Amino acid sequence: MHIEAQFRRIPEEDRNKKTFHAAIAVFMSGRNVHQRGYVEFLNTALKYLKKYDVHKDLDTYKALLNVFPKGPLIPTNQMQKIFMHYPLQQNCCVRILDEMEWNNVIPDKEVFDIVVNIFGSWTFATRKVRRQLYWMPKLKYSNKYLDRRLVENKNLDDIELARIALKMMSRDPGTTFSYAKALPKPENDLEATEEAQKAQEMLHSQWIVSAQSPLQRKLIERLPEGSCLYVDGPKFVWVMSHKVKYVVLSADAWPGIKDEFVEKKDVFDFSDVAKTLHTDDLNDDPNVHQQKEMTILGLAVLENNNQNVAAAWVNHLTAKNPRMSELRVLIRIVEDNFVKKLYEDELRAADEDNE
Amino acid sequence: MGFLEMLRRSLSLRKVPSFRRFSAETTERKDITERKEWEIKQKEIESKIPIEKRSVSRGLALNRFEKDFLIYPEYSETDDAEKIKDRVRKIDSELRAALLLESMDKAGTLTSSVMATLLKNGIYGTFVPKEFGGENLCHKDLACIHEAIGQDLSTFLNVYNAQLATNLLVFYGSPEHRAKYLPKIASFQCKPAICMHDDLENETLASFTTSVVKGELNGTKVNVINGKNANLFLILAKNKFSHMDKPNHSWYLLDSSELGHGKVDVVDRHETHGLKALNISKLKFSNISLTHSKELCSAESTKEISAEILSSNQIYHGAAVCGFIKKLLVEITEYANRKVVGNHRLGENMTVQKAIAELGMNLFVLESIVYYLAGLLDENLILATDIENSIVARNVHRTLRQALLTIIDTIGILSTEQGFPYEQRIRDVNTYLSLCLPEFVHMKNIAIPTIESWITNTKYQNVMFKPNIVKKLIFGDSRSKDPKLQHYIAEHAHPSLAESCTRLEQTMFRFDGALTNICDMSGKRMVKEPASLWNIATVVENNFAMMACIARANRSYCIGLRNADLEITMANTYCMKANEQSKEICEEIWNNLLLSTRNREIDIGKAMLEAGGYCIEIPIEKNW
Repeated sequence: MHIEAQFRRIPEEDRNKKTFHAAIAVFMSGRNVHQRGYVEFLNTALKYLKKYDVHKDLDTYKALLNVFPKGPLIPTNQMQKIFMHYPLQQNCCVRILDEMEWNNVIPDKEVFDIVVNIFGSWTFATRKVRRQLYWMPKLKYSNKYLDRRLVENKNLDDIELARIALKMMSRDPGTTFSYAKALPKPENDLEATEEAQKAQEMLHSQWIVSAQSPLQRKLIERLPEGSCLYVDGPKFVWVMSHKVKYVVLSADAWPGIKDEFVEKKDVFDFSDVAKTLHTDDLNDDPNVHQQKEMTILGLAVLENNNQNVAAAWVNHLTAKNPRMSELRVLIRIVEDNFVKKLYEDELRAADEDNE
Repeated sequence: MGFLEMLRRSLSLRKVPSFRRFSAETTERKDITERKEWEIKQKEIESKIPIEKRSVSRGLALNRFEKDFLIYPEYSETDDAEKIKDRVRKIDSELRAALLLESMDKAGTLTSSVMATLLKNGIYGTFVPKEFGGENLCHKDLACIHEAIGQDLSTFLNVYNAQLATNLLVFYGSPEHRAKYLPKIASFQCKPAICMHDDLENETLASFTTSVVKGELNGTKVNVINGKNANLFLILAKNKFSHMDKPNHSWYLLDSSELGHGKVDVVDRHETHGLKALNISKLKFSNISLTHSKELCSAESTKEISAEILSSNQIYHGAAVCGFIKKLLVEITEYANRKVVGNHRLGENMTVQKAIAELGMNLFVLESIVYYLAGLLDENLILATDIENSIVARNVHRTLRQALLTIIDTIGILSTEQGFPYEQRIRDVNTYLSLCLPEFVHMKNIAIPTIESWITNTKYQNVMFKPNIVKKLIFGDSRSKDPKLQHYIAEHAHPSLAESCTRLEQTMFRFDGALTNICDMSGKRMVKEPASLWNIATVVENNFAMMACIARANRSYCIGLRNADLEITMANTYCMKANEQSKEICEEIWNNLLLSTRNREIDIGKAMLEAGGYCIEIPIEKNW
């Protein structure tokens, strides 16, 4: 059977780690004494990693590297060490390691041992894995705001992902996270039975994960009369390879926030020492939520980004911020499938033409 | 002179046995001659191993470096580390939930939910040897588990009580004792209690009232942890037989099911204001018949056992305090982050940040030392841990005192308000510190063995016979020499830690010279000079802690642990502060006038004690 056919023949619903490893096992069992064809096999297998959803699995990469024969590829004399010994094979190994690096899979000592047993100590491929083993662990936690151990290799549902994303974005360590559900009203309150209401709740209840800190609540209390609050979104943020959409509750920029690059502060000017040294500067300075363009008063991730759920979120926040009931709230949400709805008529017309 | 004071003196002056390992090996209890032969043989083996390979602190004090000690010990297999982490996570979450269910303060004892958690997770079997139904975990594993249960100090001390009794049985008990009691301790059928302190009015060793006369034990013991619930007692009693002139003291094992016509009564419960679940009682033993088979060990080993109880196993105390402080830091930071003052969080206040930073630094040093020691013991890389145990104990004291200050600085008036967790933490810390040996004892346990090793290994000559003046004229004293690098410790660590390694080497060099001066100037009198002992103990402690912090930060940064850059910062900060402190101390040691003035500070205390209070006249007093 052609190498590519081994991977292509598996139907899409059956493509997983087990079947991928089975394909590797089939190749290994059918090998002849000369062990040819493994470079072609590996190059083909690399193309199907994402389709089998094993591109982030370390065991799969180890299984691929184990396809290389151990021993014959190790250089035995100086000339072989100077010139790239078995260049095709080394390049193939480096491609596998590149794929691993691109998918952010950190090799361990076993990977290093496998590569050294295949190619020897100081070859092109071994240098690659040494560099990977040195740099990748060092850069693993370069994002200080996210503990990737909470995300990688875990089957997180949307709610857990939402909480992690909000925690990553919230720079106020006092932020509290709450989970709520937006329950739609039945169309006819009087006629809806209890079962009908419950059924509707099951079908249509939308979850909301909200993040707000005590400092933000204080800012809402201090907002002047007639202020307007805005619910903007969805914006998106990446939590490793997961895309999370969130919305922001904000107000206009706080009066008196100065642009620090405009104002000149001469730190060594002591002419006004009595005034400058004794001011309670901490309380006058803006806090982390008072930005130049807006004042951020809350963040949330909604199950579905639409006006109704955003309104439900505002109601949820009003329970802890009674001041919000006195203020105007403007919801500026771009609904999911907004673009699709915008061009719905044109798309329908195009489909009819095709038919 | 009180019994405790006598014991402390005996601890400080005698050489504590070098082999202090609590490992899986259970040796047959040897009789006196066999044990002495074994000790002599061990000493022979020991003397062939260089001092820097036997004891980290002694090696550093002698300006000798062993590069293996710069490798922070770790689990060789990732699976082992993951296994213990999962187990600890489970214990931590279950214990946390159990502590929230019912307050132990009100119950006055460990609640049923806490006991259920401990039993379900097999905590009591973790330190019992495998052949007696336990798991016999290694020191690192035990340190992790103690850190998890240390979130509540009462729980830890209850478990530690059982662990102490287990260790005594393993090392000193007969095979029959071990076979009978160790499986029961592992399965919690046996609840041991250690009865060491005699009635407070009769504290002298000679005037112990608890005695075995004609095979019958009578007496009273105080400060017995878990005395009310115990069914196995380890009792220190005077043993006077009619044919012997001098009374001996021995440790006895008493099973509550074998009391015969005698009885054990709980006379009184010591109502402490913290650690209320600890159940500290006063027990009265009446007419209990004891035979030789009930003796835990011979009279010669009595002091050794007492030393074990008072000053060994401090790494577990250290681990428990780490767990306690970590939980406390979570509570304090949550409070500081959620409380709003003006336009900012309380956590943005510099005072709060400084207080939390101090506590964090102390915790970092303590945690580094504890796991460093535990790892070295697991790998059998060191033989002597007497000084290191006392270093851990001193750090525990310091960290807990800092915890009190941090709570007060951060929480303020709420720290004393009932209903909030902080006031219970303050009470628990206060009671815990009062149960421990005073810091002065640990200071002596560090300083005196260090001096002894230094004198033995450098072959120090009596100053009366040394041509010092000529030597100083020709070579100058070592104070005037710049500390030169001899070991190049920085080559074994990451470049970010090069400065810290250099500082450690400089401290080692200066200290070696300072010890020469102190021996020259004070001689044997130094054991009675508190400032000299404090100085020596502080420098030894700083050296050891610097080594542990550098090794830890080096490992973390090289393997890329999260927040490794913060660890590097903390290690560098600590090493800088420790180096400056050690430098000042060495300068003080060289300055004989300053040192002797410092040593006379205790005269101020003596004057106040004699006067019954502060004896200085008020500033407005007139004389005519």
